Amino acid sequence: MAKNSKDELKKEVYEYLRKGLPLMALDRIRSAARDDLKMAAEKLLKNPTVIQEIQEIQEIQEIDDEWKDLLSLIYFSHFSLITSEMMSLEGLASWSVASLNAAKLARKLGIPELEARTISNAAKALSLVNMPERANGVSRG
Amino acid sequence: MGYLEADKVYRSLERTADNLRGLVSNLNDFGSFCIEQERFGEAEKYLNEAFELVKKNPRIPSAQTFLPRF
Repeated sequence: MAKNSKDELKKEVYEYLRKGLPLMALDRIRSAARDDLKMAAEKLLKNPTVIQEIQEIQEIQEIDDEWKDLLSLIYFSHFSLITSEMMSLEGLASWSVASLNAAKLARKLGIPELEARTISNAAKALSLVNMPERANGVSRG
Repeated sequence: MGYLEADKVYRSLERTADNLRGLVSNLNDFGSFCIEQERFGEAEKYLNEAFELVKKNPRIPSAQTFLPRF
């Protein structure tokens, strides 16, 4: 894939993430990326838990670090969205972990709109599991 | 990371309708959280600011301002 179209694809993926549309970002990668990246995205779409084994998957090992971070961010921001309606203790814990991971990656990749939204969600999840110091932001982590 | 951090990031962003909605939502959540913690002075400050922002910016749908985003 030519560098320009790769940059163009990254720009589109960033824009979807900025708007809070992680699945649209994943779908865009699936339809337009080069083969290795497309395979990684398809694996992620079929089974989101592969992100936990990101270092062990051949297709993902061969793609660059920014794409790895983008795929991880897609996973965590989508997981943050779907767990936001789970009010069990386990659901709230998943919501806070996914949101914090998404916030850290959004900060690393320079997507402050997504960073703010996911930090706020993490704070809400933490306050609901009765961790007020962390929700308040006294303990940064 | 928490409400304060989210507040800081929201304030650093351009004041688009979406970003304002996020800021107001975070202020409301933070205000509610402060009430739960019996920090009523702080709660009043955050909730009043959210209310003022909504008054000054009719682009923010008012239905979303005092509802938790679950």
